[in-house]
Amino acid sequence: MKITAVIVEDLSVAAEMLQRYCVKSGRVNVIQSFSSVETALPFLSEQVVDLIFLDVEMPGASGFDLLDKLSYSPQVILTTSKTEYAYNAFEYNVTDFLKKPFTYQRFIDALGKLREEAEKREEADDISHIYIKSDGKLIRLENDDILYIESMGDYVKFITNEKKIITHNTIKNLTSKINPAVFCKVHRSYIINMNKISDVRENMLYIKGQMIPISKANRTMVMSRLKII
Amino acid sequence: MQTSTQRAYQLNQAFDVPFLMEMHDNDLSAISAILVTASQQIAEELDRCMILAEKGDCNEIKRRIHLVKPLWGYCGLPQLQMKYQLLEYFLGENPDAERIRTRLHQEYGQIIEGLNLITNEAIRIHEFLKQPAS
Repeated sequence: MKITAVIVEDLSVAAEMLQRYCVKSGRVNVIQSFSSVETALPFLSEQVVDLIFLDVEMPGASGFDLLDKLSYSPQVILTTSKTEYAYNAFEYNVTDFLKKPFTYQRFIDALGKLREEAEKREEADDISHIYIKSDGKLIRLENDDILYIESMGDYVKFITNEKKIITHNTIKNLTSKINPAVFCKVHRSYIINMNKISDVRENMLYIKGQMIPISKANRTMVMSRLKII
Repeated sequence: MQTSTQRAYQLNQAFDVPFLMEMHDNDLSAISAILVTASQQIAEELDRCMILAEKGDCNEIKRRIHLVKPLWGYCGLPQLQMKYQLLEYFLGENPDAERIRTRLHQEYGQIIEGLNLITNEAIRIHEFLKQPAS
């Protein structure tokens, strides 16, 4: 089965070249191409894709802004002409980093990494628990015990039924590590356990009486995951 | 599609020929097309930058330099991509209008040389492809 992808790239020559490589590979189906984050975001909030080819510096919002606003974690291949973004690429857990211009062989190598990443994610889907580092030890948390996770800058707070645990991590990093079938990023500062929502009112949801904001960018995705009858 | 005619064509060695041929699948028409598109876009943006330099609009020049910078690479001229990268770093220091003008005027000649190189190669390929295959 082909990978579904979108291209977010403001340089038309680069977008066309990428599109050509995707066709040539026979493995990637580019369903849409955008020249800015502002045009891509509404589409990506409605449509789940497997992969985003993402430029970093574009007029208006940057590629990293797009990743901050997405409520799910597709695989991402950054396409940029600046190597300075390599550190951010690592921070955002992107699958690969292609420096423009790149050859077809380099593109194929990046697709190879997608497979490895997909296998890792499939493993994550089956995991019912996570381990977090806190107070010099590794603490096991069952997915079902976690109510939500809140950002505190360079730290995050895990709120469970019984306790609150603070650990050095970021929401960005956790988004790609946790089980996506159970958890959902609803705001740049919150990941919630979808099974723990008690009610939803406009742009807020409630878990055990705690009010949690739903960002505008994530609202469509959150609503689509609720079993509304 | 590579043909025997295309194999006989010798690209100007000023270009990174192996990279250009690999990126465009040894397809001379595709190379010619990208040379034309890229040179037009770079030239247009260069004209805009020269106008913006008179106003000292550093951020907008930097954005435009960043946008077209990879086009040099797509044309097989990485040294000019690097030149644009250095220009981008320079503009990142937020220089005043006078320094921007001076720097752009210093670089202008080499940029135009690069553009001429691209244009001439595109014309040469076009002429070559018009010849009947032997």
